Parts: sequence; C-alpha cells; structure tokens
Amino acid sequence: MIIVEHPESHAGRGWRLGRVVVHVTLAVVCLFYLLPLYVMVVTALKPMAEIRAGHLLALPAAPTLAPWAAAWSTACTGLSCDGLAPGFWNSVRILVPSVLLSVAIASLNGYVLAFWRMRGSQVLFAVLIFGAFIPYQVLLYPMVMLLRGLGIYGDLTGLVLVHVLLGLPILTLLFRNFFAGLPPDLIHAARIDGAGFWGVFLRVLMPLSAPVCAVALMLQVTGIWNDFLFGIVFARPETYPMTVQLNNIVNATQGVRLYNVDMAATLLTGLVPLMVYVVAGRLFLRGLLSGAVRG
Amino acid sequence: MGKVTLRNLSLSIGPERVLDDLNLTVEQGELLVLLGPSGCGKSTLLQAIAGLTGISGGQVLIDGRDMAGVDPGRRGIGMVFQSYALYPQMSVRGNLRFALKNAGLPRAEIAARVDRVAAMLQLDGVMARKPSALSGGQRQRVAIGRALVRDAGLLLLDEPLSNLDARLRNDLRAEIRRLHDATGRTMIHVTHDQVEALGLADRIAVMQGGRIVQVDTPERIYRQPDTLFVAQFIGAPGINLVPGQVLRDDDGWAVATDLGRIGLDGPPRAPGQVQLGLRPEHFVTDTQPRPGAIRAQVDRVEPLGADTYLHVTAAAQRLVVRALSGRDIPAPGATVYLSPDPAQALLFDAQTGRRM
Repeated sequence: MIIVEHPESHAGRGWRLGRVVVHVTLAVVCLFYLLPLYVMVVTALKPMAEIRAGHLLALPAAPTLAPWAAAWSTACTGLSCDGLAPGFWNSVRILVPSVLLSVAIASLNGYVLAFWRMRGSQVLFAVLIFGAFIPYQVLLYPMVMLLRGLGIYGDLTGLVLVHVLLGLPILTLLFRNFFAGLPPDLIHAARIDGAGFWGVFLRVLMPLSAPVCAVALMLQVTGIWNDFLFGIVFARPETYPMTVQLNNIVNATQGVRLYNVDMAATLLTGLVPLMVYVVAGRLFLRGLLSGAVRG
Repeated sequence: MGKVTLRNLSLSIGPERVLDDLNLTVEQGELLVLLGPSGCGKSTLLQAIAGLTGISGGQVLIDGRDMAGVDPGRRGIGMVFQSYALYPQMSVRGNLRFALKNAGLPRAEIAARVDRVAAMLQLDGVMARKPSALSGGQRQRVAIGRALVRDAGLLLLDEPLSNLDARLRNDLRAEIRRLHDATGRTMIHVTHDQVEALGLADRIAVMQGGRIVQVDTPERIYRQPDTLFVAQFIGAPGINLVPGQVLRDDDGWAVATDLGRIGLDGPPRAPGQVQLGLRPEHFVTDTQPRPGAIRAQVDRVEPLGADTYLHVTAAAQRLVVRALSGRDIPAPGATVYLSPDPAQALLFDAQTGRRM
C-alpha cells in the first residue's frame, strides 16, 4: 500500500471543508451501491416466512443456509430441478479453456506484432483494433452458421471458440502495447545472448508480463463468466452456462416465487468474478508496483 | 578471433541513407572507438555489425566470414547497451548465465565461467541480487560481464558509459581498457564523448552523416584532422577557426587574416581561401607586447583545473586560448598579446573543408 501524507500547508479552512464534502459524497455513493447488495445477502439468509413479513431491510431473525443449498442443487428451471450446479460446471468448462487459450494466443500475437516486423503487420494490427469494436449482435448469426458448419453448434467447444475469437482483438492490443513499451534493447540483448523466437518470448518477456496477464485474466474471467448472450445463443439446455441457468431459475413461473433462493442463486453466480477481483487485483497492484522494467 | 571487415556497407531507412558506403577493418584485438555526434549512424552501424538490424547493401565480415543471414546469437559477439538492458526478473547470476544456458553448455562449465567473470568485475557479493537492487555502476558491470562471459572474440559497446556520472564514467573507462588489455578481445566502442574516445581507443573512426570521415590513432585525429568537421568535433575547448587568404611575400608563405599576417612554415599545397585552425594551446599568451603578437582583450576566464582558458576578442574574432600555467592569469577586461605557433597551424580548404 502507498500511504500519501498530506502536507501540513494544505490544512487551511477551505481545504478542510472541501475534504468533508468529498467524504460525504463518497459515503453516499458507497451506500447507494452497497444497499442492494445488503438486501440480497439478508434476504438470501431468511426463510420465506420472514420475507413475507415484509421487512426488507431487517436482519434475519433466524438465519438459514437452506436457500443456498436449494439454489445450488434443487432449484427448478421449469424443465428440471438440479439447481445451479450443472450450470456452474458448464461455466467452468467454458471458462478455463477460453481464458487460457485466449491469453496464450493473444500474448503471442502481441509479441509478434510488437517485435517482429513483417509485411502487412501494420494492416493486421489495424484490423485487430477494428475487431475490438464490432458489436456482437452483428456476429451472432454468422457465428451460428460457422459453428453449425463445423458441427460444434450447441457444444461447449463451440462456445469456447466464440469466446476465444472475440477476446483476441482487445487482448492482443493489450499485450502488444505492453511489449511495445518495453525497452527494445532488452530484446536485442536476449537475441545476442542466443535466445530465439521462443526463448525471447518465454524466458525474457513472459516473466515480465505478470501485470498485463493479471489485467487480461480479469477482463476474460469476468467477461466470459458474466456472458449471457453467447450462452443462450450457442448452447443447449445441457450446456447452458451458470448465467443462463440462473435466469431460468429466477424466471421460472410455477408455484411460489422463492425470493431467498433467487437471491442466493444470484450471489452464488456472482462469486467467481468477485474472487477474481480480489485475487488478481492484488497481483495486478503488486505487478504495477514492482514492475521496474528499467533495471 | 574478432576481426571485423565492412565492405561498402549501406543502410537506408525509407529515402534516408543512415549508413553510406562504409569501408572499415577492425584488426583482431584492437579497441576501435566509433565517434560522432547524435544521429551520425554510429549506433546503427553497431547494430548492423551485431545483426540486430538489416542492411541494404555491402557486407559485414567477422573473421572473414560473411554474416548475411547469420543470427545475432551466432555471430560470436557480446554486446553492452547504454540502458544496460539487464533482464529485470533474473538475478545477477541469472543474467550472466543466460547466454551460456541458451548455448546448452554443461552446468559445471557455466558455473565456472560465471564465477570467473564475476571475480574479474568484482560482482561476487551481489550475485543473488536483482538488477533493481544494484547501483548504476554495478548494473553496467553486470552488462559488461554478460557480454564477456560468452568468450566471444568481439565485444560491441553501445555508449556504455553515458548513463553514469562523471567519476564513475572515468573509473569504468579505465576498467574497459583494462579488460581489453587483459582479455585481448576485439572491441568496438560507440560514443559521442571525444574525451572518452581519445582516452580509450587504439584507433578512432569519426563518423558524420552516415559516413566514416577519418580513421586514425587518437594522437593523429587530434593533431592532423583530415577535415574541418573532425577538427571542430575533437578538442575541448574547441579549435579556433580564422578565415584567411594564402599569400606569398618577402618573408615567405603566410595567411592574411583579420588578425593580421600569420606566417607559415612551408608552402601550402594550394593558394586560395582557407580556414586557419589553431587550437587553444597553439598560442603563446603574454601580458606584455611582443613583436608580431596579436593584441586581444580578455572577455572571460575559464579555469578548468589543470589549465585555464581565456575567451578573448581580437580584431572582432572570438578566440579561446590557453593561459600559460605558472604565470599570472589576466582578469576579464585585460589586454593580452597572442603569438600563434605557425608550425602547429592547420590549414583547411575553405570550399571543401579538407586539410591542405
């Protein structure tokens, strides 16, 4: 952590008033963001009887984890009653290969674009940047045809392919810019020292890339985990990711609406990106602080 | 090992000729300094020899072998960079052994070579440290060690001292010379610092605008510069240039200048317009009038330790002359009398800039 000490000379009256206004504003904004979360957490811990009593903000009188268990393994989607669990495992099976593949390919792309000038590399780079700004809706139908042609429409493989392809432009840009910012002499030195194409990449550049890898991981994990659009378009009920499963549970309209189960299911679904922020966020900060490349 | 020959070497980037038809031979075991102002192509030339940049024409030969298409790692060279370019994630030991690991040497030999170089450069105590925990001088020594450890016959040094402070620069300059003499490697050292060049080199190649304009010993580069450019680039304070006209009168050959008639020792190769070059130490400076001396007024006194230089004005010409040590130094505003030494004077053709 960096602790910035405020110089004494700034401690005038107007300055102090300004600080108060800033802090009050921040506190209000925090409340605004935290209140819905609070409501979700307490609701998920209440039995249905308590919820029907109507005290939205009250703490649970008899806290229970039953809604969480139900959300995980028995909540109904209207077709089946297996809870979120199948969706969770589908999401994991989509997430892990998508993230690993897209980061691996994008870092390699970025390396080539940053250091190995070839004919047309500038054009390729421009096209990649353009690719990062294409609205996904435009791609949906062609993608369906492509996946059907490949015979993987509805499979997890198809979904992984879509995520990898659509993640590549922005990730490649990220890695290229990071590598281009490194001193060229570092690569020169490595080449003099006899490192080849892969040696420079794997033994000199990648060990320096922790900060940019953390950024890429955060982008990809949250993006892919939270994806709903591709999940619902490119998957079948057996291959639905967790987000689609969550939607189906929450929107199933048979019998009583189980608010506590819905809330627990939503929180469970949000847990993975949250953990990524906590873990990779630290890595990211550490990378930024210790990343003295010149030296 | 380590002889370098350049034949008609050219390199163009777009329409610009960065290196223009260079021919140069660096003998085995020689320490050659490439000297020139920023942008003259000296670093580019070093990169071309290393194979880090492509060339547009001509040949680079190392030990008689054409290097076209040969990887930088296979040219038998070591290189030291201005920015050190140490691998930040590796320890000093890791930096030193990286090349040897890439070459696939056995473990025991790697350790022995790394230890030998570490001892040579007094890096024993810092082998486990990361580069970020080293001082500037230590980093540059690691960079030199990394180049030495490969036992390459040819060492390329790209302004290795210019990021260091003056004292450290002098120390490391002496160390580079000592390493050269101890190891007998061929070294090509790039710098824009003429003091460094004069103090370090066996021979200096002066570059200007992508061409090599003179290759000579430091002594001859200083005393017999081939062109006005070399004369002006070498020497601090710089050479005094006085325009004039060659003539012959009853007293023999002379140059007529604003400062008056300055006699020449012998006949010049050609008469005509010239630039007369006189270094600050080519004048005898006196506070008393002497026959034939030039009267001048002191504008500024510049004491540089061992020598003191006087900035003077004589007949609307600004000159810098060395004050004789052991005498009273004149104060600004004082009048001095300058006697140029005709035997030392350099004559340059005013049109071509070449020495006559």
